[in-house]
Parts: sequence; structure tokens; C-alpha cells
Amino acid sequence: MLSRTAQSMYRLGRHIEHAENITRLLDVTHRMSLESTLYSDVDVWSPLIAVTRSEEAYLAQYDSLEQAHVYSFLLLSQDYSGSVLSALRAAREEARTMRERISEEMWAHLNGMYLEMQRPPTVSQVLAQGSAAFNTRIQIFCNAFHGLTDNTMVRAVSWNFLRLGRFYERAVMTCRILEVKHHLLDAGPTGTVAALDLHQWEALLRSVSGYEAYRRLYRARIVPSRVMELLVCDDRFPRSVHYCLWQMQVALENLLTEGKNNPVLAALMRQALKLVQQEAVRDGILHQGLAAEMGTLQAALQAVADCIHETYFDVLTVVAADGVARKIAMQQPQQQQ
Amino acid sequence: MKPSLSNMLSQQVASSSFFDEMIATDGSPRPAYREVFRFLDELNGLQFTELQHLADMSLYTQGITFTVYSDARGTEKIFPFDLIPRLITHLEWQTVEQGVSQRMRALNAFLHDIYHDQKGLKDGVVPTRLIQGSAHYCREMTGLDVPGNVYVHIGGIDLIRDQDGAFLVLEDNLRNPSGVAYLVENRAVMARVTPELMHRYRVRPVHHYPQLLFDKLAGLSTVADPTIAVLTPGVYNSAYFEHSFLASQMGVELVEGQDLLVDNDVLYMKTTGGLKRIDVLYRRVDDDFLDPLVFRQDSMLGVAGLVGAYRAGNVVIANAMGNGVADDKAVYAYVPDIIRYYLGEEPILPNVPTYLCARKEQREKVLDHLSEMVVKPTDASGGYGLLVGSHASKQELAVFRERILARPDDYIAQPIQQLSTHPTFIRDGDGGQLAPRHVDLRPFAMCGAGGEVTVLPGGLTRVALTEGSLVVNSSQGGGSKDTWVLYPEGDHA
Repeated sequence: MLSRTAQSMYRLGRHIEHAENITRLLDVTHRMSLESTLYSDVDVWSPLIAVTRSEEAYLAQYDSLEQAHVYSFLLLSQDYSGSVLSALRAAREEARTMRERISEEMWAHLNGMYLEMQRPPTVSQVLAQGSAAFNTRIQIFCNAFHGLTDNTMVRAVSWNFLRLGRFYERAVMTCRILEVKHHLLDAGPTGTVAALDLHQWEALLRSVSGYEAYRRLYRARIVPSRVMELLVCDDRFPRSVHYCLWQMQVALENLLTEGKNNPVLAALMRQALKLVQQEAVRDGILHQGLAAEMGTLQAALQAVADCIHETYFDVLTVVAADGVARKIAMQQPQQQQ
Repeated sequence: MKPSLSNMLSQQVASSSFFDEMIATDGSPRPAYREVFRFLDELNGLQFTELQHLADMSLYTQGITFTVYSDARGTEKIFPFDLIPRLITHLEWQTVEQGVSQRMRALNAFLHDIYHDQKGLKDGVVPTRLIQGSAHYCREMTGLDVPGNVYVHIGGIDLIRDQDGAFLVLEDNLRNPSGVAYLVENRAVMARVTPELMHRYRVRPVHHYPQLLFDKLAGLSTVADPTIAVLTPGVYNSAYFEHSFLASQMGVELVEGQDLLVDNDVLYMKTTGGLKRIDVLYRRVDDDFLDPLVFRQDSMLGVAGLVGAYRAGNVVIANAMGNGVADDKAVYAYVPDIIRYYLGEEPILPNVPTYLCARKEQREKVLDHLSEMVVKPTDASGGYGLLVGSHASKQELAVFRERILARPDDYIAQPIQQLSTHPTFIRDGDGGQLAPRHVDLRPFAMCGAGGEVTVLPGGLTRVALTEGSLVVNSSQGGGSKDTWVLYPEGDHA
């Protein structure tokens, strides 16, 4: 498969996952803001900008953090490449360059949303509906896309790259959500959870669709260490970091048939998986705090992503047995007269 | 009671002076069209609107679109599709097929001569100045032997019909003719939306075009099982849908310049499994952008070293470079002589009368009758920068007069052609009506390594949707129709 196409597949997976994650975050934050008496001294909107790593872009456009601005920025901005609208458009553009590689159904699904978003709603329209309607629509769209992908695509190279992108993006986002909420845990690691914090923990679980899962596994009492367990270590919960890493590992194993066996990539993958073992996470948080621990996880993920890039997307790089990447220098022929 | 669609149509056409494809001068349908006519009578206007809507949605959701350059947002539009098919009888098709084939053979021979001995120039068939001065003349092709001496592997010859219904050649497209994907997709839409009409005819199939193309391209290589790739300028090119369609239908990779690499005069594509050699490149990128070492240095659309690999014989490029020298609108005027000189045959399909503004007496005639002429720049394509005298304002006429006087070599003119008309569904609010609109025909021909020419039995019928308009280009608001070439039986003519 063309390296560019493989990379497009990977990006397609990431864009769709990104769009879904943003709407989830917006939903939860919105719900928190509704109970604003409770949070009068808590700034609910700035964590969103932090999670999406978009402080600079946001401040270039707006000078205050308020709902309407954050919504129009993260949901509907045409200029900010990380907005939901931009991600959906980008996903469709990637798909357009490789229509022959995805199923008709997937294309029709993406193209239908693209056509709908040619006339996107305004912020006030979205908010007037209570915003959940729009966000739910996007979430269903994204999940339907995953469903179509899994039900109509041959389990071949394309499918694996697509899943690689999807689960990488999801793992990173779960790490980041936990990272910005670190003050919750750092304040009281194992003790009782105050009412305010309780709501925040609940919101956090909801943002990754984990509230029901948590209740079923651990019942109603929210204990921070168990939340961590569910969102990072539990390989049965489809949005946990562990589950995502496991899916990435499966995809990479399937890709071995592509003829490239990069032992470095496999090693990096195993290393990342070690980091999400229950004990490793507990020790990590104890020693360096939640934020730093999530930083370590993200660095491991980044290393895997870089290695994927070198192995499959930039074929002029070879990785020698010593693990050092080297660029092959290609000599361009001289101009003939 | 409302008059039927077909009755209204007969009245409109009977009062027109153009050749109508469906309706004869007495207002009755031509024999081959009787079933289409009956079909239209059976449907009422509302049903037709529904069918048309169905067809449009089918194109939209499949993303069968093109990009309009003049639109700042790079908006994609569907190529408007009209449901009433254009029929070509077996007899008519024989003329078209033989004429197009003849033209392909002659122009291939001409190109071979231009890039080798130039006998034709020495014998004065075409003025040397015209070739040397052509922006499309490609120095790198000089003396180069290409497989089978074939330069035009895929050609699109634009035809129109005069008042008597005779086919004339309007233009040759020998570089990167586009539209064949729409032709194939149009047929698929027709089969889906109006199957009962198709059942009444025996229509020659067109869906095998990608297989034909694959065979021709594979035949160009000396490698047993050659790797073929389609080179596209990218997703923002107006014909991107077609590039992707052809690649996927042929089961080959669709590559962009960034996917390619030339090392030691061998062309490779970058894949997840490493570099893979390409033997045949069906390129849909213009000459100028193919190789920054040879052509435009700022081009990111091609790959450095491609021409070197081509000259070394390590890759076949279709179509060959430098073909523009033979489909230039000024050279067009000489094609009948080219056919006589290189093939020793009389042209089967005549040219439309053409005036060269470079010649004083012809230029004066053009300027005297500017409002009755279509003026075309010789080095452009796609209907941009064209003047249709009868539809131009005084100001536009004055602008073109100045342009012609400033650079007479750059323009040719043709008397305004009486393009034939074809009944077309014209939307009007929720409903619509049938009205005659001007059409042309672009058949597609392929030339294999043995020099044999295959003309796909069909063609892209383009229709000018604006009343009275003669410009059928999609970039200028044209639409298309499915073109049914009929088998000999069921031929009512």
C-alpha cells in the first residue's frame, strides 16, 4: 500500500475519534456549567482548551473564556484545525483521496455529513437546542462510522491503519483528560471525596462514557483510585488507555504481513503496555503525581506514533538493529542538457 | 387537460432552425427515438422531476463531483446530469468510429514525424513556424522512440452536428482528455433510474472502459506483469473524481508526485513495504508539471527525474509528452491535410471552417464579422477565455478585438456553429419542462502499442443548459447526458 494512503487511513481514524472526543468533552462541561452555583469558583471552560492543546489558537481569536466562544471555537471554527467541523471535513478529504480503499457505505456516510456541514448551524442554534442534540448527533455519526468500518471493511492493511489511528487518538485523549483533572487527585489521593469533587469525577467518567461502566463494576461510591483503574488499566473498558494500546498492538501485529518487521516498534509498544499495568500506574502516581504520570504515558505513546511514522509513512527512513533511525540519502539525477 | 410533454416539445423544436437529435422538422420523433418519445409521454412532469431528483441524489451521495476553479471556496459540484438519453444509431456510429480512428492514426503519425524527421514540415503540410513557436513543443521528445510509435494513447475528439445532421470535428484532445468516468457513471445512473426505458433498446455497453484501458496500458510495457499507476495532481484537481475512478476500476495505485521517487533512472512509488517500481505511468498531470528538472521548477505535482527515466526506457508514460503540439487550435485547421499526407486517405469527419487570425486576410474577415464568430485562444483549454460573438457585449467584443490585434497568432475563429439540439429537462421550481438545448459529443479512443485504435461505443454528450448557449463545458455550466450507441438490430433508421 502507498505510504500516503496508509497515513491517510491512520489520519482518518484519528479525525473521527477526535471529533467524537471534543463533543463528549463539551457535553460534560456544559452539564457542569449548568450547575454553576456549585462551581461558581471553578472555571469549567479553561480545562477544555488545555485538553485540546489549543490555548494559543483560542487566545488569538477570543479574549475571554465563555461558553459561546468555546463552543464556536471547538465545535464550529473553520479556521482552527482541531474543531469538530474541521475534523469532519478533514476526515472526508482524507477519505476522498482513497475512496477505492474504503467501502461505499463508509464513503456515503462521511460524504453525507460533509454535505450537511456545508451549512453548519450557528453557535446560537446549537446552544438553543441545549447543545446536547448536536453533540449527540456527532457522537452517533462517529460511532456509526466505526460500526460501518468494522462491518464492511476487509480486515486488511487499510483496516489496521484506520484502527491504529482511532485507538492512538483515543488513548492520548484519555491521558489528557486525566492530566487536566490532576488537581482532584493531588488534593486528596485516597480520602473521601467532597461534593464538588464528586461531581467533577462523575463528569470525568461521563466524558469517556465511563459512568455506567464504573457503577456496574464498583457501584455508586466514587473512589479516585478506582476511576484511574478503569480509565487507564482496565483492558475490558473500550476507552481505557490499556484497551487502546492493546488494540494498537493487535493492529501492528496484523501489519507484519506487510513485509516490514520493525523490532523497535514492537519493543516500544510492549514498553507502553507495561506502563498501564495497575501497579505501575499506582506507583507512578504515588511518586510523581498524576499529571507527570500521564505525561510519561503520553511520551510513550508519542514514541510509538513516531516509530509508526518512520516504519510505514516515511519509507526512506530505515531503522537499524541498534534502534537508531537513519535517513537514506537519495541522489537526485543531474539535469541533462 | 395539460398538453403532454412530448407535444410541447414537438412545437418548440418545429419552430427552430437547428438540427434536433430527437425531433424531425415535421415535429415527429426520429425513428430511433420513438420509444424515448413514448416513454416521455407515459410519464407526467411530476414523475419526471422525481426521477431527475433520484439521479441527482445518486450522483451527490456518491460524490461524483468536479471542482470549480473560479469558485473561491473550491466548491465541488455535481456535473449536472440529464435523464433523456442521446441516441446514436449503428449507421451514424460507423462514421464516427471510423472518422475518430482515422484522426487518431493520422495525428499519431504526425507526432512521430514532428519528433523525428519532420518530413511533413519540409513538405509544407503544416507551417514550421506553427510547430516551432508552439508552447507545447517538447524538446525532450526529439529523436526519442516511444513504444509502438504511439504518442496519443487516449484521445477525446469533440464532435458537433451541423444543420443537416452531419458530424464535424470541433476539437482534438490529445493530452489529458477527461470525462470518461462521467460517461461510465452516467450509464450506471440510467440503469438504476430508468431501467424500463433501457429495456426497450439494445444499447452497446461502456462499463468495460477501465479494462480496455488497463489492457492498452499493460501492452505498452515489455515487462510481463507491469506495475501501472495513475498519476493525479491531487484531490483539488477538477477531474480528481475521474482519476480516482480509473485507478480503482483498474485496480492500480492512484499516486501523487509526493508518492514518487526516481533513482538511477528508475521510477518508484513509496509504499508501506518499501519502494516499488512503476513500469507504466498513466499520468493526468500536464507536461509542464511532470518533472521540475525539465519543466516548471516550482512544480510539486510531478517528480524530479521522471523524464530521465522515460528517456532511459525504464518507464512508459501515457500520453506521451509534447502532444499539445498536435491538438493546438491553430494546428487543428491543418488536420485534414495531415490525414491526406500521412495516411493517403480523405478525411471521414470534416473540420468546421476555421480562420487563422495570424493570416491577414482571414483576420480581417474575423474582425469584420466578430459578432458572428467564436474566437478561441490557441493555447488554452476548458472554455476559459472564449468569445461567443453573438452573446458578447459591445465591451467584450472591443476587448477581444484588441487582443486579436495584439497577438494574432494566439487566436483562431470559427463561424458560430449551429450545434444540434437535444430535448433536455429544464428545472423550473418544483417541476420542470422539456426544452431543446445544444449538445456536442466527445467519443474516447485508445491506441495500443500495435497502433490499433479502439473507440469506446459511446461518448460524453455534453449539453449547454442555458437557453441558446453554445458553451457546453462543465466549467461553464454545462451538463451531460448518457449516450446510447445502438446495436445494428433495433436500428430504425
